[in-house]
Amino acid sequence: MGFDVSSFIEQLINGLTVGSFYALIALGYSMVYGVLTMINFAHGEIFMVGAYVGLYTMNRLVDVGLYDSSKILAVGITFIAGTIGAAITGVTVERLAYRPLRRAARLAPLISAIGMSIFLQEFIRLLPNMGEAITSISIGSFTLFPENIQTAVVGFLQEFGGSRVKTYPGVFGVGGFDIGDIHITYSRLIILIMSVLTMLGLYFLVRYSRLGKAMRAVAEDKDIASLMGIDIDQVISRTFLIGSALAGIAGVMMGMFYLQIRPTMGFVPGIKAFTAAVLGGIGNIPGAMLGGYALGLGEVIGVQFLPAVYKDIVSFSILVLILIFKPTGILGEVLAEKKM
Amino acid sequence: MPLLEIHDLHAYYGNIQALKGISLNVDQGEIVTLIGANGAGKTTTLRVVSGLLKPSQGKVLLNSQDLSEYKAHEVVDQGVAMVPEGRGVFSKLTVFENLELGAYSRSDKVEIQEDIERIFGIFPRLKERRTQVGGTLSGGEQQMLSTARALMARPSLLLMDEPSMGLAPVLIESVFESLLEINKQGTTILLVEQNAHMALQVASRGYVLQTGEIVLSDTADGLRENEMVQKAYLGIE
Repeated sequence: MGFDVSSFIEQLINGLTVGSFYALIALGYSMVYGVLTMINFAHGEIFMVGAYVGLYTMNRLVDVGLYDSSKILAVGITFIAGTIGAAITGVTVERLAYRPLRRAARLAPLISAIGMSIFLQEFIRLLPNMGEAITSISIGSFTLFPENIQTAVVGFLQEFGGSRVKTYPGVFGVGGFDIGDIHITYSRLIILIMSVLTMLGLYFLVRYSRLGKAMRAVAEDKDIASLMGIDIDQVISRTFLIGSALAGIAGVMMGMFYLQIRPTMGFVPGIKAFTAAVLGGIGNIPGAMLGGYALGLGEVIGVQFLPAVYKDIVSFSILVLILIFKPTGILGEVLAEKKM
Repeated sequence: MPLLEIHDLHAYYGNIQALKGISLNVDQGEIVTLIGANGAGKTTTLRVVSGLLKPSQGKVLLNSQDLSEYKAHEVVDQGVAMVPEGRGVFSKLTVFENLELGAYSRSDKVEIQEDIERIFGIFPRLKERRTQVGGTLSGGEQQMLSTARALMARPSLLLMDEPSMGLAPVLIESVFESLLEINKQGTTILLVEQNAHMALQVASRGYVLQTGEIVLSDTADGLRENEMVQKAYLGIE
Protein backbone atom coordinates (compact mmCIF):
# COMPACT_ATOMS: atom_id res chain seq x y z
CA MET A 1 0.00 0.00 0.00
CA GLY A 2 1.58 3.24 -1.09
CA PHE A 3 1.50 6.31 1.09
CA ASP A 4 -0.13 9.32 -0.50
CA VAL A 5 0.64 12.55 1.34
CA SER A 6 -2.17 14.65 -0.07
CA SER A 7 -4.80 12.03 0.62
CA PHE A 8 -3.39 11.69 4.13
CA ILE A 9 -3.82 15.43 4.66
CA GLU A 10 -7.36 15.18 3.33
CA GLN A 11 -7.93 12.43 5.85
CA LEU A 12 -6.58 14.65 8.61
CA ILE A 13 -9.04 17.38 7.63
CA ASN A 14 -11.74 14.73 7.66
CA GLY A 15 -10.58 13.79 11.15
CA LEU A 16 -10.87 17.40 12.29
CA THR A 17 -14.42 17.60 10.93
CA VAL A 18 -15.49 14.47 12.76
CA GLY A 19 -13.50 15.68 15.75
CA SER A 20 -15.58 18.88 15.76
CA PHE A 21 -18.74 16.84 16.25
CA TYR A 22 -17.13 14.80 19.00
CA ALA A 23 -15.76 17.90 20.71
CA LEU A 24 -19.08 19.77 20.68
CA ILE A 25 -20.92 16.78 22.12
CA ALA A 26 -18.11 15.90 24.54
CA LEU A 27 -18.39 19.37 26.11
CA GLY A 28 -21.89 18.57 27.35
CA TYR A 29 -20.73 15.36 29.00
CA SER A 30 -17.82 17.11 30.62
CA MET A 31 -19.72 20.17 31.83
CA VAL A 32 -22.43 18.05 33.40
CA TYR A 33 -19.85 15.78 34.95
CA GLY A 34 -18.12 18.86 36.32
CA VAL A 35 -21.14 20.12 38.25
CA LEU A 36 -22.90 16.84 39.06
CA THR A 37 -20.23 14.11 38.84
CA MET A 38 -22.61 12.08 36.73
CA ILE A 39 -22.53 10.88 33.15
CA ASN A 40 -25.59 12.07 31.28
CA PHE A 41 -26.09 9.07 29.06
CA ALA A 42 -29.10 10.75 27.45
CA HIS A 43 -26.78 13.39 25.97
CA GLY A 44 -26.51 11.59 22.62
CA GLU A 45 -30.30 11.66 22.35
CA ILE A 46 -30.39 15.37 23.14
CA PHE A 47 -28.06 15.78 20.17
CA MET A 48 -30.49 13.69 18.09
CA VAL A 49 -33.47 15.84 19.14
CA GLY A 50 -31.49 18.90 18.01
CA ALA A 51 -31.11 17.35 14.56
CA TYR A 52 -34.85 16.59 14.37
CA VAL A 53 -36.01 20.03 15.48
CA GLY A 54 -33.53 21.52 13.01
CA LEU A 55 -34.80 19.41 10.13
CA TYR A 56 -38.44 20.14 10.91
CA THR A 57 -37.68 23.85 10.96
CA MET A 58 -35.69 23.68 7.76
CA ASN A 59 -38.47 21.84 5.93
CA ARG A 60 -40.94 24.54 6.95
CA LEU A 61 -38.52 27.20 5.70
CA VAL A 62 -38.32 25.30 2.41
CA ASP A 63 -42.15 25.27 2.32
CA VAL A 64 -42.44 29.01 2.79
CA GLY A 65 -39.71 29.65 0.25
CA LEU A 66 -37.23 31.28 2.59
CA TYR A 67 -34.71 28.53 1.93
CA ASP A 68 -34.68 29.42 -1.75
CA SER A 69 -34.68 33.18 -1.32
CA SER A 70 -32.11 33.40 1.48
CA LYS A 71 -30.24 30.24 2.18
CA ILE A 72 -27.98 31.75 4.81
CA LEU A 73 -30.91 33.11 6.81
CA ALA A 74 -32.72 29.76 6.59
CA VAL A 75 -29.65 27.86 7.74
CA GLY A 76 -29.21 30.32 10.60
CA ILE A 77 -32.80 29.90 11.74
CA THR A 78 -32.40 26.12 11.50
CA PHE A 79 -29.37 26.21 13.75
CA ILE A 80 -31.15 28.43 16.26
CA ALA A 81 -34.21 26.16 16.32
CA GLY A 82 -32.16 22.98 16.70
CA THR A 83 -30.13 24.57 19.46
CA ILE A 84 -33.20 25.75 21.35
CA GLY A 85 -34.92 22.38 20.88
CA ALA A 86 -31.94 20.50 22.30
CA ALA A 87 -31.51 23.00 25.13
CA ILE A 88 -35.15 22.70 26.22
CA THR A 89 -34.87 18.91 26.05
CA GLY A 90 -31.71 18.91 28.17
CA VAL A 91 -33.13 21.21 30.83
CA THR A 92 -36.35 19.19 30.99
CA VAL A 93 -34.47 15.90 31.33
CA GLU A 94 -32.43 17.34 34.19
CA ARG A 95 -35.49 18.70 35.94
CA LEU A 96 -37.57 15.54 35.65
CA ALA A 97 -35.08 12.69 35.71
CA TYR A 98 -31.98 13.87 37.58
CA ARG A 99 -32.88 16.58 40.06
CA PRO A 100 -35.20 14.37 42.14
CA LEU A 101 -32.28 11.93 42.47
CA ARG A 102 -29.72 14.54 43.53
CA ARG A 103 -29.31 12.98 46.97
CA ALA A 104 -29.81 9.39 45.91
CA ALA A 105 -27.06 6.80 45.57
CA ARG A 106 -24.68 7.40 42.67
CA LEU A 107 -26.06 4.59 40.58
CA ALA A 108 -29.61 5.99 40.57
CA PRO A 109 -29.11 9.02 38.28
CA LEU A 110 -26.95 6.91 35.98
CA ILE A 111 -29.76 4.39 35.50
CA SER A 112 -32.21 7.25 35.15
CA ALA A 113 -29.98 8.67 32.40
CA ILE A 114 -29.96 5.39 30.49
CA GLY A 115 -33.73 5.33 30.86
CA MET A 116 -34.02 8.86 29.46
CA SER A 117 -31.80 7.88 26.56
CA ILE A 118 -34.11 5.03 25.60
CA PHE A 119 -37.18 7.17 26.26
CA LEU A 120 -36.08 10.00 23.96
CA GLN A 121 -35.15 7.61 21.17
CA GLU A 122 -38.47 5.81 21.36
CA PHE A 123 -40.37 9.06 21.79
CA ILE A 124 -39.09 10.46 18.50
CA ARG A 125 -39.50 7.10 16.77
CA LEU A 126 -43.08 6.54 17.96
CA LEU A 127 -44.36 10.14 17.78
CA PRO A 128 -46.70 9.54 14.81
CA ASN A 129 -48.01 6.32 16.35
CA MET A 130 -48.70 8.05 19.64
CA GLY A 131 -50.43 10.90 17.84
CA GLU A 132 -52.60 8.43 15.99
CA ALA A 133 -53.43 6.46 19.12
CA ILE A 134 -54.42 9.56 21.08
CA THR A 135 -56.40 11.31 18.37
CA SER A 136 -58.36 8.16 17.48
CA ILE A 137 -59.64 7.63 21.02
CA SER A 138 -63.36 7.04 20.82
CA ILE A 139 -66.06 6.44 23.39
CA GLY A 140 -68.67 4.25 21.74
CA SER A 141 -69.39 5.90 18.44
CA PHE A 142 -68.25 9.30 19.71
CA THR A 143 -64.72 10.14 18.58
CA LEU A 144 -62.85 12.64 20.70
CA PHE A 145 -61.19 14.41 17.78
CA PRO A 146 -62.76 15.10 14.41
CA GLU A 147 -61.10 13.39 11.51
CA ASN A 148 -59.51 16.51 10.06
CA ILE A 149 -57.76 17.30 13.34
CA GLN A 150 -56.59 13.71 13.56
CA THR A 151 -55.10 13.88 10.06
CA ALA A 152 -53.45 17.21 10.82
CA VAL A 153 -51.88 16.01 14.08
CA VAL A 154 -50.63 12.76 12.60
CA GLY A 155 -49.33 14.61 9.56
CA PHE A 156 -47.43 17.05 11.72
CA LEU A 157 -45.94 14.30 13.86
CA GLN A 158 -44.95 12.31 10.80
CA GLU A 159 -43.17 15.38 9.50
CA PHE A 160 -41.37 15.70 12.82
CA GLY A 161 -40.48 12.17 13.91
CA GLY A 162 -41.11 8.54 13.12
CA SER A 163 -39.03 5.45 12.61
CA ARG A 164 -38.05 6.16 9.03
CA VAL A 165 -34.84 7.87 8.04
CA LYS A 166 -35.31 11.57 7.30
CA THR A 167 -33.13 13.61 4.99
CA TYR A 168 -31.80 17.14 5.25
CA PRO A 169 -31.61 19.12 2.03
CA GLY A 170 -28.04 19.31 0.74
CA VAL A 171 -27.30 22.68 2.25
CA PHE A 172 -23.54 22.74 1.92
CA GLY A 173 -23.44 21.30 -1.60
CA VAL A 174 -20.49 19.27 -2.72
CA GLY A 175 -18.30 22.19 -3.74
CA GLY A 176 -14.82 22.78 -2.52
CA PHE A 177 -11.44 24.07 -3.46
CA ASP A 178 -7.96 22.71 -4.06
CA ILE A 179 -4.65 23.56 -2.50
CA GLY A 180 -2.15 21.71 -4.66
CA ASP A 181 -3.37 18.13 -4.69
CA ILE A 182 -5.41 18.56 -1.58
CA HIS A 183 -9.15 18.89 -2.00
CA ILE A 184 -11.08 20.62 0.76
CA THR A 185 -14.87 20.77 0.68
CA TYR A 186 -16.61 23.91 1.87
CA SER A 187 -18.79 21.84 4.17
CA ARG A 188 -15.83 20.62 6.20
CA LEU A 189 -14.39 24.10 6.38
CA ILE A 190 -17.70 25.59 7.54
CA ILE A 191 -18.12 22.91 10.22
CA LEU A 192 -14.60 23.41 11.44
CA ILE A 193 -14.90 27.19 11.65
CA MET A 194 -18.34 27.13 13.28
CA SER A 195 -17.22 24.61 15.87
CA VAL A 196 -14.09 26.49 16.77
CA LEU A 197 -16.02 29.76 17.11
CA THR A 198 -18.69 28.11 19.26
CA MET A 199 -16.06 26.59 21.52
CA LEU A 200 -14.19 29.86 21.83
CA GLY A 201 -17.47 31.46 22.87
CA LEU A 202 -18.00 28.77 25.48
CA TYR A 203 -14.46 29.14 26.75
CA PHE A 204 -14.89 32.86 27.31
CA LEU A 205 -18.30 32.34 28.89
CA VAL A 206 -16.92 29.88 31.43
CA ARG A 207 -13.79 31.93 32.03
CA TYR A 208 -15.20 35.42 32.40
CA SER A 209 -18.96 35.50 32.88
CA ARG A 210 -20.75 35.53 36.20
CA LEU A 211 -22.45 32.25 35.28
CA GLY A 212 -19.13 30.71 34.27
CA LYS A 213 -17.56 31.56 37.60
CA ALA A 214 -20.60 30.21 39.42
CA MET A 215 -20.35 27.00 37.38
CA ARG A 216 -16.72 26.53 38.32
CA ALA A 217 -17.54 27.24 41.97
CA VAL A 218 -20.38 24.69 41.94
CA ALA A 219 -18.08 22.15 40.29
CA GLU A 220 -15.55 22.60 43.05
CA ASP A 221 -17.80 22.60 46.11
CA LYS A 222 -21.59 22.92 46.12
CA ASP A 223 -21.95 23.79 49.81
CA ILE A 224 -19.38 26.56 49.69
CA ALA A 225 -20.87 27.82 46.42
CA SER A 226 -24.30 28.10 48.03
CA LEU A 227 -22.72 30.06 50.90
CA MET A 228 -21.71 32.63 48.24
CA GLY A 229 -25.38 33.08 47.44
CA ILE A 230 -25.25 30.90 44.32
CA ASP A 231 -28.47 29.06 43.55
CA ILE A 232 -27.06 25.58 42.88
CA ASP A 233 -30.16 24.21 41.13
CA GLN A 234 -30.22 27.17 38.78
CA VAL A 235 -26.54 26.81 37.89
CA ILE A 236 -26.95 23.08 37.24
CA SER A 237 -29.97 23.77 35.08
CA ARG A 238 -28.06 26.35 33.04
CA THR A 239 -25.14 23.97 32.68
CA PHE A 240 -27.53 21.49 31.09
CA LEU A 241 -28.92 24.29 28.94
CA ILE A 242 -25.51 25.23 27.56
CA GLY A 243 -24.23 21.67 27.17
CA SER A 244 -27.43 20.64 25.39
CA ALA A 245 -27.35 23.70 23.16
CA LEU A 246 -23.88 22.70 21.99
CA ALA A 247 -25.18 19.19 21.29
CA GLY A 248 -28.04 20.76 19.33
CA ILE A 249 -25.60 22.71 17.16
CA ALA A 250 -23.68 19.47 16.55
CA GLY A 251 -26.93 17.67 15.73
CA VAL A 252 -27.98 20.17 13.07
CA MET A 253 -24.45 20.25 11.68
CA MET A 254 -24.28 16.51 11.45
CA GLY A 255 -27.65 16.41 9.73
CA MET A 256 -26.49 18.96 7.17
CA PHE A 257 -23.21 17.11 6.67
CA TYR A 258 -24.32 13.47 6.50
CA LEU A 259 -27.87 14.40 5.34
CA GLN A 260 -29.62 11.41 6.91
CA ILE A 261 -31.00 11.45 10.45
CA ARG A 262 -32.72 8.70 12.40
CA PRO A 263 -33.86 8.22 16.00
CA THR A 264 -30.87 6.04 16.82
CA MET A 265 -28.34 8.51 15.38
CA GLY A 266 -27.32 9.77 18.83
CA PHE A 267 -25.96 6.53 20.15
CA VAL A 268 -22.62 6.10 18.41
CA PRO A 269 -21.60 9.79 18.31
CA GLY A 270 -22.78 10.04 21.92
CA ILE A 271 -20.63 7.23 23.15
CA LYS A 272 -17.68 8.39 21.08
CA ALA A 273 -18.01 11.90 22.44
CA PHE A 274 -18.06 10.36 25.88
CA THR A 275 -14.80 8.64 24.92
CA ALA A 276 -13.46 12.01 23.80
CA ALA A 277 -14.47 13.58 27.12
CA VAL A 278 -12.69 10.82 29.04
CA LEU A 279 -9.70 11.11 26.73
CA GLY A 280 -9.37 14.82 27.43
CA GLY A 281 -10.08 14.45 31.13
CA ILE A 282 -13.74 14.40 32.09
CA GLY A 283 -14.95 17.51 33.87
CA ASN A 284 -12.34 19.58 32.05
CA ILE A 285 -13.69 21.88 29.34
CA PRO A 286 -10.54 22.44 27.24
CA GLY A 287 -9.94 18.71 27.73
CA ALA A 288 -13.25 17.86 26.06
CA MET A 289 -12.35 19.98 23.03
CA LEU A 290 -8.88 18.49 22.82
CA GLY A 291 -10.22 14.97 23.35
CA GLY A 292 -12.78 15.43 20.56
CA TYR A 293 -10.18 16.44 18.01
CA ALA A 294 -7.69 13.84 19.24
CA LEU A 295 -10.29 11.11 18.83
CA GLY A 296 -11.33 12.33 15.39
CA LEU A 297 -7.71 12.35 14.26
CA GLY A 298 -7.00 9.04 15.98
CA GLU A 299 -9.80 7.42 14.01
CA VAL A 300 -8.60 8.60 10.61
CA ILE A 301 -5.02 7.72 11.41
CA GLY A 302 -6.15 4.31 12.62
CA VAL A 303 -7.98 3.55 9.39
CA GLN A 304 -4.85 4.40 7.41
CA PHE A 305 -3.52 1.10 8.65
CA LEU A 306 -6.73 -0.83 9.13
CA PRO A 307 -9.87 -1.26 7.02
CA ALA A 308 -12.32 1.61 7.52
CA VAL A 309 -14.88 -0.59 9.24
CA TYR A 310 -12.46 -0.84 12.15
CA LYS A 311 -12.97 2.85 12.92
CA ASP A 312 -15.23 2.23 15.91
CA ILE A 313 -12.90 -0.42 17.23
CA VAL A 314 -10.08 2.13 17.18
CA SER A 315 -12.17 4.62 19.19
CA PHE A 316 -13.28 2.20 21.80
CA SER A 317 -9.84 0.65 22.13
CA ILE A 318 -8.66 4.18 22.90
CA LEU A 319 -11.37 4.43 25.58
CA VAL A 320 -10.35 1.15 27.20
CA LEU A 321 -6.66 1.99 27.08
CA ILE A 322 -7.20 5.38 28.70
CA LEU A 323 -9.39 3.96 31.40
CA ILE A 324 -6.68 1.43 32.21
CA PHE A 325 -3.53 3.53 31.90
CA LYS A 326 -4.57 7.15 32.40
CA PRO A 327 -8.09 7.33 33.82
CA THR A 328 -7.72 11.06 34.44
CA GLY A 329 -7.29 11.74 30.71
CA ILE A 330 -4.92 14.15 29.03
CA LEU A 331 -5.82 17.29 30.98
CA GLY A 332 -7.73 15.79 33.88
CA GLU A 333 -6.57 15.87 37.42
CA VAL A 334 -6.92 13.36 40.17
CA LEU A 335 -10.55 13.13 41.10
CA ALA A 336 -11.08 14.05 44.70
CA GLU A 337 -12.82 11.40 46.74
CA LYS A 338 -15.45 13.86 47.94
CA LYS A 339 -16.60 14.50 44.40
CA MET A 340 -17.24 10.83 43.78
CA MET B 1 -32.35 44.05 70.28
CA PRO B 2 -31.33 40.56 69.11
CA LEU B 3 -30.17 40.28 65.51
CA LEU B 4 -30.10 36.49 65.63
CA GLU B 5 -32.35 34.36 67.80
CA ILE B 6 -32.19 30.60 67.92
CA HIS B 7 -35.06 28.81 69.64
CA ASP B 8 -35.02 25.18 70.68
CA LEU B 9 -33.07 23.98 67.68
CA HIS B 10 -32.86 20.26 66.92
CA ALA B 11 -30.84 18.83 64.05
CA TYR B 12 -29.82 15.40 62.85
CA TYR B 13 -27.16 13.90 60.62
CA GLY B 14 -28.98 10.78 59.49
CA ASN B 15 -29.92 9.08 62.74
CA ILE B 16 -27.45 10.92 64.88
CA GLN B 17 -28.86 13.85 66.79
CA ALA B 18 -26.30 16.63 66.63
CA LEU B 19 -28.37 19.37 68.29
CA LYS B 20 -30.74 18.64 71.16
CA GLY B 21 -32.70 21.85 71.51
CA ILE B 22 -30.32 24.74 71.77
CA SER B 23 -31.37 28.37 72.22
CA LEU B 24 -29.17 31.39 71.97
CA ASN B 25 -29.21 34.95 70.75
CA VAL B 26 -26.78 37.44 69.33
CA ASP B 27 -27.44 41.17 69.67
CA GLN B 28 -26.72 43.74 67.03
CA GLY B 29 -23.05 44.73 67.12
CA GLU B 30 -21.89 41.94 69.40
CA ILE B 31 -19.22 39.29 69.08
CA VAL B 32 -20.63 36.14 70.61
CA THR B 33 -18.65 32.93 70.81
CA LEU B 34 -19.75 29.33 70.89
CA ILE B 35 -17.11 27.15 72.49
CA GLY B 36 -17.00 23.43 72.98
CA ALA B 37 -15.10 20.28 72.19
CA ASN B 38 -14.99 18.39 68.91
CA GLY B 39 -18.40 17.02 68.03
CA ALA B 40 -20.27 19.24 70.48
CA GLY B 41 -22.43 20.65 67.69
CA LYS B 42 -20.74 23.99 67.03
CA THR B 43 -20.34 23.54 63.29
CA THR B 44 -23.81 22.01 63.06
CA THR B 45 -25.26 25.15 64.63
CA LEU B 46 -23.60 27.32 62.00
CA ARG B 47 -24.67 24.97 59.20
CA VAL B 48 -28.28 25.28 60.32
CA VAL B 49 -28.12 29.08 60.60
CA SER B 50 -26.56 29.35 57.13
CA GLY B 51 -29.18 27.08 55.60
CA LEU B 52 -26.86 24.20 54.69
CA LEU B 53 -28.67 21.89 57.09
CA LYS B 54 -32.40 21.85 57.74
CA PRO B 55 -33.34 21.68 61.42
CA SER B 56 -35.79 18.99 62.46
CA GLN B 57 -37.35 21.34 64.97
CA GLY B 58 -36.90 24.88 66.22
CA LYS B 59 -36.49 28.33 64.76
CA VAL B 60 -33.72 30.54 63.48
CA LEU B 61 -34.79 34.18 63.49
CA LEU B 62 -32.85 36.98 61.88
CA ASN B 63 -34.39 40.36 62.70
CA SER B 64 -37.45 38.36 63.83
CA GLN B 65 -37.75 36.73 60.42
CA ASP B 66 -37.67 32.93 60.32
CA LEU B 67 -34.77 31.62 58.24
CA SER B 68 -35.24 27.92 58.88
CA GLU B 69 -37.14 27.31 55.63
CA TYR B 70 -34.65 29.25 53.51
CA LYS B 71 -32.08 27.62 51.27
CA ALA B 72 -28.45 28.51 51.83
CA HIS B 73 -28.27 30.97 48.92
CA GLU B 74 -31.40 32.75 50.14
CA VAL B 75 -29.94 33.10 53.64
CA VAL B 76 -27.02 34.99 52.06
CA ASP B 77 -29.51 37.41 50.52
CA GLN B 78 -30.86 38.06 54.02
CA GLY B 79 -27.44 39.30 55.14
CA VAL B 80 -25.75 36.27 56.68
CA ALA B 81 -22.29 35.27 55.45
CA MET B 82 -20.11 32.43 56.63
CA VAL B 83 -16.40 31.75 56.86
CA PRO B 84 -16.61 27.96 56.78
CA GLU B 85 -14.54 25.43 58.65
CA GLY B 86 -11.36 24.71 56.73
CA ARG B 87 -11.85 28.11 54.99
CA GLY B 88 -13.51 26.71 51.86
CA VAL B 89 -11.45 28.75 49.43
CA PHE B 90 -12.14 27.78 45.81
CA SER B 91 -8.76 26.30 45.03
CA LYS B 92 -9.08 26.44 41.24
CA LEU B 93 -10.39 30.00 41.12
CA THR B 94 -8.15 33.02 41.45
CA VAL B 95 -8.08 35.20 44.55
CA PHE B 96 -9.90 37.88 42.58
CA GLU B 97 -12.60 35.45 41.40
CA ASN B 98 -13.05 34.17 44.93
CA LEU B 99 -13.73 37.73 46.06
CA GLU B 100 -16.10 38.36 43.16
CA LEU B 101 -18.07 35.26 44.09
CA GLY B 102 -18.32 36.55 47.64
CA ALA B 103 -20.35 39.41 46.18
CA TYR B 104 -22.49 37.08 44.04
CA SER B 105 -25.69 38.14 45.78
CA ARG B 106 -25.03 41.81 44.99
CA SER B 107 -25.54 43.61 41.72
CA ASP B 108 -23.91 47.00 42.38
CA LYS B 109 -20.86 46.55 40.16
CA VAL B 110 -19.14 49.80 41.01
CA GLU B 111 -19.41 49.31 44.74
CA ILE B 112 -18.22 45.71 44.42
CA GLN B 113 -15.05 46.98 42.76
CA GLU B 114 -14.64 49.57 45.52
CA ASP B 115 -15.06 46.89 48.17
CA ILE B 116 -12.45 44.70 46.50
CA GLU B 117 -10.04 47.66 46.46
CA ARG B 118 -10.80 48.34 50.13
CA ILE B 119 -10.11 44.69 50.98
CA PHE B 120 -6.84 44.84 49.07
CA GLY B 121 -6.00 47.83 51.24
CA ILE B 122 -6.64 45.85 54.42
CA PHE B 123 -4.97 42.66 53.12
CA PRO B 124 -2.13 43.70 50.78
CA ARG B 125 -1.10 40.05 50.54
CA LEU B 126 -4.31 39.27 48.71
CA LYS B 127 -3.65 42.08 46.28
CA GLU B 128 -0.21 40.69 45.50
CA ARG B 129 -1.74 37.30 44.84
CA ARG B 130 -4.91 38.45 43.09
CA THR B 131 -4.29 36.42 39.92
CA GLN B 132 -3.08 33.31 41.74
CA VAL B 133 -5.49 30.43 42.24
CA GLY B 134 -6.72 29.85 45.78
CA GLY B 135 -5.07 26.47 46.11
CA THR B 136 -1.60 28.03 45.99
CA LEU B 137 -2.15 30.27 49.03
CA SER B 138 -0.78 29.48 52.48
CA GLY B 139 -3.15 28.64 55.32
CA GLY B 140 -3.00 32.17 56.71
CA GLU B 141 -3.62 33.72 53.31
CA GLN B 142 -6.54 31.37 52.74
CA GLN B 143 -8.02 32.48 56.04
CA MET B 144 -7.67 36.11 54.96
CA LEU B 145 -9.28 35.31 51.64
CA SER B 146 -12.13 33.38 53.18
CA THR B 147 -12.87 36.21 55.62
CA ALA B 148 -12.54 38.88 52.95
CA ARG B 149 -14.79 36.88 50.63
CA ALA B 150 -17.51 36.64 53.29
CA LEU B 151 -17.29 40.41 53.83
CA MET B 152 -17.88 40.96 50.12
CA ALA B 153 -21.51 40.00 50.72
CA ARG B 154 -21.75 43.01 53.12
CA PRO B 155 -23.32 40.80 55.78
CA SER B 156 -25.05 42.09 58.87
CA LEU B 157 -24.17 38.81 60.57
CA LEU B 158 -20.87 37.00 60.01
CA LEU B 159 -20.57 33.36 61.02
CA MET B 160 -17.01 32.20 61.61
CA ASP B 161 -16.17 28.55 62.01
CA GLU B 162 -12.80 27.86 63.67
CA PRO B 163 -10.82 30.65 62.01
CA SER B 164 -7.75 29.75 64.11
CA MET B 165 -7.64 26.12 63.04
CA GLY B 166 -4.27 25.01 61.71
CA LEU B 167 -2.68 28.46 61.91
CA ALA B 168 0.58 29.43 63.58
CA PRO B 169 0.12 31.37 66.88
CA VAL B 170 1.30 34.66 65.36
CA LEU B 171 -1.24 34.32 62.59
CA ILE B 172 -4.02 33.46 65.04
CA GLU B 173 -3.27 36.74 66.77
CA SER B 174 -3.74 38.69 63.54
CA VAL B 175 -6.92 36.77 62.62
CA PHE B 176 -8.52 37.82 65.88
CA GLU B 177 -7.33 41.38 65.45
CA SER B 178 -8.98 41.56 62.06
CA LEU B 179 -12.10 40.10 63.63
CA LEU B 180 -12.26 42.94 66.13
CA GLU B 181 -11.73 45.41 63.32
CA ILE B 182 -14.58 43.91 61.28
CA ASN B 183 -16.81 44.11 64.31
CA LYS B 184 -15.88 47.70 64.97
CA GLN B 185 -17.03 48.58 61.46
CA GLY B 186 -20.48 47.31 62.33
CA THR B 187 -20.66 43.61 61.54
CA THR B 188 -22.12 41.33 64.18
CA ILE B 189 -20.15 38.11 64.62
CA LEU B 190 -21.02 34.63 65.83
CA LEU B 191 -17.70 32.89 66.39
CA VAL B 192 -17.24 29.16 66.80
CA GLU B 193 -13.91 28.21 68.31
CA GLN B 194 -12.02 25.41 69.96
CA ASN B 195 -9.40 27.93 70.96
CA ALA B 196 -11.51 29.19 73.86
CA HIS B 197 -8.67 31.28 75.19
CA MET B 198 -8.58 33.54 72.11
CA ALA B 199 -12.31 33.45 71.56
CA LEU B 200 -13.08 34.72 75.03
CA GLN B 201 -10.63 37.58 74.55
CA VAL B 202 -12.50 39.05 71.60
CA ALA B 203 -16.08 38.08 72.43
CA SER B 204 -18.34 39.94 74.80
CA ARG B 205 -20.45 36.90 75.62
CA GLY B 206 -20.23 33.17 75.10
CA TYR B 207 -22.08 29.88 75.19
CA VAL B 208 -20.60 26.51 76.05
CA LEU B 209 -21.88 23.64 73.96
CA GLN B 210 -21.60 20.03 75.08
CA THR B 211 -22.91 17.07 73.04
CA GLY B 212 -25.59 19.11 71.38
CA GLU B 213 -26.75 21.09 74.38
CA ILE B 214 -25.87 24.48 75.81
CA VAL B 215 -24.60 23.89 79.30
CA LEU B 216 -23.45 27.38 80.18
CA SER B 217 -23.87 30.95 79.02
CA ASP B 218 -22.29 34.03 80.47
CA THR B 219 -20.25 37.12 79.65
CA ALA B 220 -16.77 36.39 78.36
CA ASP B 221 -15.27 37.49 81.69
CA GLY B 222 -17.69 35.30 83.59
CA LEU B 223 -16.81 32.28 81.45
CA ARG B 224 -13.11 32.90 81.89
CA GLU B 225 -13.58 32.82 85.67
CA ASN B 226 -15.76 29.73 85.56
CA GLU B 227 -14.05 26.69 87.01
CA MET B 228 -15.56 24.20 84.58
CA VAL B 229 -14.56 26.33 81.58
CA GLN B 230 -11.06 26.81 82.98
CA LYS B 231 -10.64 23.08 83.43
CA ALA B 232 -12.24 21.84 80.24
CA TYR B 233 -11.42 24.54 77.70
CA LEU B 234 -8.69 26.80 79.00
CA GLY B 235 -6.35 24.11 80.33
CA ILE B 236 -6.18 25.72 83.78
CA GLU B 237 -6.18 23.21 86.63
